[in-house]
Amino acid sequence: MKALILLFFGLSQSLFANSLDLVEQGITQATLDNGLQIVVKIDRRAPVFISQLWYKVGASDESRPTTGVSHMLEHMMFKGTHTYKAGEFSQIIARNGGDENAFTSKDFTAYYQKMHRSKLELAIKMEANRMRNLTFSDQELAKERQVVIEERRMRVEDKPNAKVYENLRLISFDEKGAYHSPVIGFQKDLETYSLNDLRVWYEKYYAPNNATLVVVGDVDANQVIALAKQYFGVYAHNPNIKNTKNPSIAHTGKSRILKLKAELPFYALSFPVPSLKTIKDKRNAYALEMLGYVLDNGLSKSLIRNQQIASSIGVGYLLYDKYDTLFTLSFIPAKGVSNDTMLKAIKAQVTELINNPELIQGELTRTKARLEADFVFEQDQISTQSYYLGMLTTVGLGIDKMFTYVDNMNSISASEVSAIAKQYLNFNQANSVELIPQGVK
Amino acid sequence: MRVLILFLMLVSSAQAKLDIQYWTTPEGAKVFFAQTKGLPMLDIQLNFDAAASTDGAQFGLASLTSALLGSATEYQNEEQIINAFESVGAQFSASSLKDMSIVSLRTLTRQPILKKSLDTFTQVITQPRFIQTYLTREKRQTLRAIEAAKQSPASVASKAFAEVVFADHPYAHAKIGTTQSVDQISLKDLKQHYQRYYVAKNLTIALVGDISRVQAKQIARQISHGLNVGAKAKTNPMVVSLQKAQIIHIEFPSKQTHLLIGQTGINRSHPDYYTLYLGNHIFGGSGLTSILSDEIREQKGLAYSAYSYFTKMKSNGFFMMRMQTKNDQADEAKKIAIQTLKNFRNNAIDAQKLQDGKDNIIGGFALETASNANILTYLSIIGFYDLPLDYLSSFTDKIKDISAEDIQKSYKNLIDIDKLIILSVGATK
Repeated sequence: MKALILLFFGLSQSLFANSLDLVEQGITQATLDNGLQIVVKIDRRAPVFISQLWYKVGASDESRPTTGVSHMLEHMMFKGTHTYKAGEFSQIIARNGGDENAFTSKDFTAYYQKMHRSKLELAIKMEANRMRNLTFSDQELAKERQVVIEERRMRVEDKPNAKVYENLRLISFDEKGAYHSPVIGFQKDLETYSLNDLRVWYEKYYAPNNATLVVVGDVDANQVIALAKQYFGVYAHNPNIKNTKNPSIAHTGKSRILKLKAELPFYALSFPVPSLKTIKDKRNAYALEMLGYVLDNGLSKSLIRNQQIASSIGVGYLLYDKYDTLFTLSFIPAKGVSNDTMLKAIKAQVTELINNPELIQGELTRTKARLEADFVFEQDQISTQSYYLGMLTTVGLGIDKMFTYVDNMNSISASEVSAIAKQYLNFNQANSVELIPQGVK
Repeated sequence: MRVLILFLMLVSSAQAKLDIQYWTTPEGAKVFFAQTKGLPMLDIQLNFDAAASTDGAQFGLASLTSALLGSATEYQNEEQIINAFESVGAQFSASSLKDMSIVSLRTLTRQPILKKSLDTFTQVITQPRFIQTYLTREKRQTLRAIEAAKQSPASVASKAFAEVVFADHPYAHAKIGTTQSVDQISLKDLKQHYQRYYVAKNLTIALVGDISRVQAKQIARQISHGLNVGAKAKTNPMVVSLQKAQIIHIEFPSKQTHLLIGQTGINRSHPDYYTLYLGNHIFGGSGLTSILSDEIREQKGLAYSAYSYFTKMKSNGFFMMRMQTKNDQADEAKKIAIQTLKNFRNNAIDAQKLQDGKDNIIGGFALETASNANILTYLSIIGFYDLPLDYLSSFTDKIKDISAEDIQKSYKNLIDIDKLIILSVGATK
């Protein structure tokens, strides 16, 4: 496949033969004595930078009764340190022209500032300050707890399809392992955990040897490293951080019906699968990723555009999850079409893909062309570039995965996609959540 | 990939001041072009004045016309078109708002990729075929979208607010239309809408990417040449200001009440545009550090998001404060929001807040044009809304000398606290 694609783009294959050299990508990596990892990527298209600090902690490290604690701590990180009052972090970044925020997911918690290049030191200095020094105020927690509960109401409680996904994870993963509980946490846990729970979490995970600083933009790599040394270098390595592992434990064959105040039906299926990190043969993870693209395109074409029995279709695979993950399929049927009709049609198409790999050859070729172009398009945003660099480092995959992705995907054949579908898409064992709408009146 | 990356490295140090070039095609389309180096890609956005405000009584017509672009041309069927774009990794999209119907393409600039994606794009825009099968399908999809909107309290609230604030104005109806209006739209209506509005004189073209001015001229010409010359869409009337306060509650079985509070706003040529822009940035437009968010979220923990904005369209739009809180706190949030607006309108802000707001906008201005996607949006806005070519380069100058009193005066002139729309969607029972 690779030769075909290359010919198509008019490139000579020999030029691809060299090994990956990160220096040529404008990337510098360093690790401080205290364990802080640093990744810098130069992009001088505009006089700006993004600085992100990634912590190796997220919802996959949590358990009852403190689910959501990583996300809650992320909120509290804006509530003051011994140097800056509550809210002052945001104020100072804002008055220096910065755009800042933070995000928490299953396997990471990350903070960022996007600013003019002249503000690099300020961003690094302030982010370093709150790695330690956080003041934990009961008053601030009381308010912020309410804010997060409102966030949960907005993102999950009042969104029927979000509830379906939340329930899909609840039934697909055992509560004793990762990925069972929602990133934002269960409402009951949000209401009850204490300031001390947050403090313990902070002490346990927020240390230089559990973090990665990523800077992308119009900066000097040596200066970034020097500033990181100056501001993060003062913190001691925390010997208590051991890469505690909490692997996910998948279930199969579970199902749940949700009767919700909604207007539209919605159906979601999950198939437990390994991620790139956990899979034995790495090629198989890229085959799963390719299967995701091919099925998404193929089902949209046949069920939405041609047969017109579906209103929407979504296929997902989380290639970069830290632990075993899910391959998901979801759909809204067209009006008057039953879920069973949809399921039958999907199964038929998957069976066809398994039996006749040559049928997806065209889809595969086009997907490869699209991924190669997407790689270029994604570089338009420094935030996208830094996201991949930070996330790949944080889950322990390494940043080279960002640059070998297209080649890896190019190497996947139609028969490998078929084989992987046969291995993992076992509908009898799939988990499912069905939303039966009850109307909003 | 390696070749590509090496290529990126060679030119990634290029950082020139943004140079916006402007011309008109022989057919009358306005073209705005900015050359950016560093990434071998091109973005094109075509902005037609062909959106929901041109629907007339046929609510949903503009959206349906837009949805069918790319479904068939005189020479290719839907799958051929999709394959043609996908086989070169090009991204095609068509969408329709209240003023603008947007058709866009993102493509690599290598040949023969560029030629293939541009030829397909041109054909889709200039020689579409409107086929009944696709119209029937898109109508069914629209009806699904109408149902989806009904189960979202946020969508229910937005739709109701627009209907009240715009009353009889063409901005009032939802762009996807209603079950009844969509049902009555025919293939002939789509063809007529296309013939009338997808014309060169009703088009602005924005191009951003790694191509030369000569290439940009050829591309714009190619697109424009295939369209009828036509005529500009008629300008919509101004929105009539509210005559009295309107307090509206829509019962909805949600955990949160969505609160939308506001009134008639401004358009881009309003004399106080920059003053109101800076004022709103400080009041409710700059995230956690804005006054409204501070009062509602930081001080009281009432909502996850609380913000305000002005819509900026051709006719004057609206000013709105928006938040969502659990049902039994809705009254408290409403009172605080209105009181906060009242204070902002009646008292000049302190010097520190004013300076902070200016510093945020001016100090962060480089971020506004840091990506091709951002630049494309600005070129589209400058073109579609007839803004001066120095809109971006003069922006910070327009902001820097505004005083706290200017802001207060502009809010006092615009906002009538006694004539607010106060809309809530949530459960009271």
